[in-house]
Formats: sequence, structure tokens, C-alpha cells
Amino acid sequence: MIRHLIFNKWKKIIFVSSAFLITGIILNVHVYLTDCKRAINRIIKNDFRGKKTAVYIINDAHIECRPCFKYDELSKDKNIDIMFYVRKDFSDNDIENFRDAFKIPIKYVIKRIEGEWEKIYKRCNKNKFLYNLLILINDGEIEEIRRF
Amino acid sequence: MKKKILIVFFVIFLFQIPYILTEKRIKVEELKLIRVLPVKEERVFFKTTPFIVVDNFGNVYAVDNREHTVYKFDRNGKLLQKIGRKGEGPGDLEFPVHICVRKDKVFISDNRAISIFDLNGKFINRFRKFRHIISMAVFRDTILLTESSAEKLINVYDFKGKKLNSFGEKYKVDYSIYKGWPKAYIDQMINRGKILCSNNYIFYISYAFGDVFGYSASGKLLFKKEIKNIDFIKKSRQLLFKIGGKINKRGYYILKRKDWGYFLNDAFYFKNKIYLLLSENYLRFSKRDISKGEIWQFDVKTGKIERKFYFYPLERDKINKIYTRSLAIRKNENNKLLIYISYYDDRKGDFFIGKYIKQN
Repeated sequence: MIRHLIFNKWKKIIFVSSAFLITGIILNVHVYLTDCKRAINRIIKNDFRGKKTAVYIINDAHIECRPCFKYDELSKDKNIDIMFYVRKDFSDNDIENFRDAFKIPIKYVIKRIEGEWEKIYKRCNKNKFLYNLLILINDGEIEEIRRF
Repeated sequence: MKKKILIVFFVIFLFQIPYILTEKRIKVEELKLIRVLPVKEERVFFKTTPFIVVDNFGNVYAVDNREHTVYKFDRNGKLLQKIGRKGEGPGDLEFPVHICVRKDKVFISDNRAISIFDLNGKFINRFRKFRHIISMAVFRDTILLTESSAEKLINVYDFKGKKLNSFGEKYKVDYSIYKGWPKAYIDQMINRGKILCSNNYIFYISYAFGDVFGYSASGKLLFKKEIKNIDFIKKSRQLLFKIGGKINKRGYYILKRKDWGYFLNDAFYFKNKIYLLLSENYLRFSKRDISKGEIWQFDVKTGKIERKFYFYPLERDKINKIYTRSLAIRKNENNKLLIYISYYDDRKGDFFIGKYIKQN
């Protein structure tokens, strides 16, 4: 088959260009993922040691169309501390309504996003406000990053 | 033998009397079409059947859900302006649905928020919502919302989004008869309806059953009226509360009986009367002519249907079908009732707002 490809000019071109394309995609995804992870690692190293934490960064949520990924499951685990960062333009009432809709107890903090976390969010979302993020941290190490 | 046959016929006739009497008492009237919006010159084309509302000046606001905007027309159909455009920022809209006009403000709910504008379309403020909004109304200085997944039927918010209180009981259903359905989806289906307000009372009209609930301003239930003697509603209750639904092979949520639809498409309160816009489902399943639409006038005091109206689209045609969505009512200078109805005209393949007048 390879011999056949080598002798067919057009198939050779297609073969080589698709190889380049696939390699490019893999490299891009890898760079993007490691970059996002690296940024998160930088701030969780010290503050999140010795405990399990779920950090939600919420751009837009809806109880039916866009629920908080894994929240029901995580909130049942008493060893996990959950914190929410919401968009900067959420008013106090928006935060209260968000808490009410998702039945988030007072013990879980809901804050407006700022500083390092905002930078992380943008880095993980290609500088756009688009997706929500769940970052699961275990003893200062990233266990899972999920966009939803 | 003859005697026996006569007696049988007489008994059958006796059973028919109450039906004949009640039917005769209800007056039936045709509404006269005086204008169709949008007028050709404005070159506005709705992408879907709009939700509509009319302000005190006779301006018509039409929410185009797919165009992510609200068209404001004057009483002659001239386009005055567009309120909101697609986007996420303040003053932007994304799939807007419900609209209310109260005094000098326009309230629009979309996918993520309730946005408030002045009558000229200038953005004032908004607050986010995280639940599906089934219905919205403005009562005095509060916004009333029926939301899926909320415990109570009506939640009360101030204009900045602070929740003040909640009241009313939702329909309760045995979730186990809806195998695999999300609870929020069942809640949305069963409790679909409309909040209406007078100066002192709040009403809730169920689209599935036509029930009318009346509440005081503080949220105390004052009455519940049911529309009786309609088989379609009886069947709806049986299906939704006893038979339920399932997931089919393609993964869709379906009811266990196919011949179902909502009884109402919309409702409107005007001077002690509630006008019920009947759905094409009801008209079709009760074997009525669906080339015309129907509105029933419900008297709040007596709790009875006292008048029925029917209306045709621009071109009358027996094989045409119209699919209505929204209803708005006001009086003109001559104190005659103007009724605005948005609908999809199957023959024309387009969406319109018909402006009708009650003739008598």
C-alpha cells in the first residue's frame, strides 16, 4: 500500500499534508492544555494543599440547559470544599438568585471573578467569556479540568 | 312498541336539555380583521410567531424570538424602532420570549435575564435568571415569574432582581409515571400557563387545563375555577396525572398517548374578563374548523365562559390552517374592543399579527 502511495503523486500529496495537519492539531491542543494547566498549577500549589476543592468558574448557567457539571455529586461529598467564581457583572441579586436556583448552601462561597482566577479563566477559554470551568483540585494537584 | 320508542327518545331529549341550554346562552361572534402587521412597506419579516403586547398609546411590541429583537410598531403598523439585538451584554437579547409593558417601562425576558427598557427602547437594567421562565407579569412595582424547578407557582422580584416572596401551589404529579424524564421538564409541561394581573388581583391560567386561579395582592388564594364539561380537558388530566410519558427509541420524551396538546395558547386580562386563546390542538382534536381561530371570554366574577369569538386570517380559505401564539387587547377611541392576535398562516407560510375589532 505504501509503495502504491509513493508512486501516486496526488495520493502522496494528500498523505503528507494530512500528516502535517494532524500533527499540527495535536501540537496545538497539547500547547493549549499545558498552558491552561500550568497557569492553574501556579496558584493552587500553596493555597489548596492538604484538601480537596472544586472550583467552578461560571460564565453562564441555567438549571436545565446548562447545569453545574457534577455539582450534585460533589456536593454530597463532605470532604470537598466547593467554591464558585461568577462573572464580574453579576449583581448581588444575581448571586443570590444563582444560589437559590442551584440550591447552593451558604457554606460554599460565591465570589465575582478577579485577579489570577480571571487570567486563568481567559487562558483556558482562549481569551473569551464562553464556557464554564470546573477545576477539581486534590492536595494542591489538578485532578480534573472540565469545560461545560 | 311505538310508545316505548317515544319514551326512549324523550329520555334522550331530557338528557340533552342542559347541554342545549348552556350552549345557547353563550353568544358567538366573529371578529372583523382591520389590519395585518407587519405592513408591506416596512419590510419586516418575522422569523417566528411573535409574542405581543400593546401599550397605552396603541403601539404594538412584537418579540421575534429567532431575530433576538423586539419590533415596536405604531397603531398604523409603522415600524418605530427595534429594541435589543442579539448578544450577551447589557441591552442585548438572546432568544427573548415574554414581554410586559407597565407604565413607562418594557420588560423582556430572554434565555438568561430579565431586561428592563424605557418605552423608547433605552436600556435601564437587567437581572439574571437561572431557571426556565414559564410566564412573566408586572404587578405594581414587582415582577412576577413562574419558573420551572421553583417550589412555588409564582415568585415575586423587585425591578433589581431581589426575590421578595413567593406564593401559589404548583400542580403535583407522580414523577414515576414519566419514566426517564427530567423533573424540570415535567414541571415545565404541567405548569405551563400565564400570569395575569388586574389592579388588585393576580390570576394564573393553566394552558393544559384552562383552570383559573385568583390571588390577592399578598398572594392569598381567593378562588380556583375550572372549565367544565370539556372532554379534551378531562383527557388531559387523565393523561398528565395518571398515564404519563416515556422515552422512545430515538431518545425523545413522549407522552403515552399521542392525541394531546395544550388547551390554550395564551390568555389576556381586560376589565374583569379573561380572554382565552384556544390552541389549534384543542380545535383539531375536538374536530373543529382550524381555518379560523377561537377566543373564549371568561367572566372573573361568575367564573363562566360567557362569550365566544372566532376570527379568520387575511385570506379566508377552508383548507387553510392558522396556528396562533399570542393575544393582546385594548379599547380604541370609540370604546370598541381591539384584539391583536399573532399567528402563523399555513397558506401564506408566514407569521402575522392580526388587528381585529369586536363589532357589536
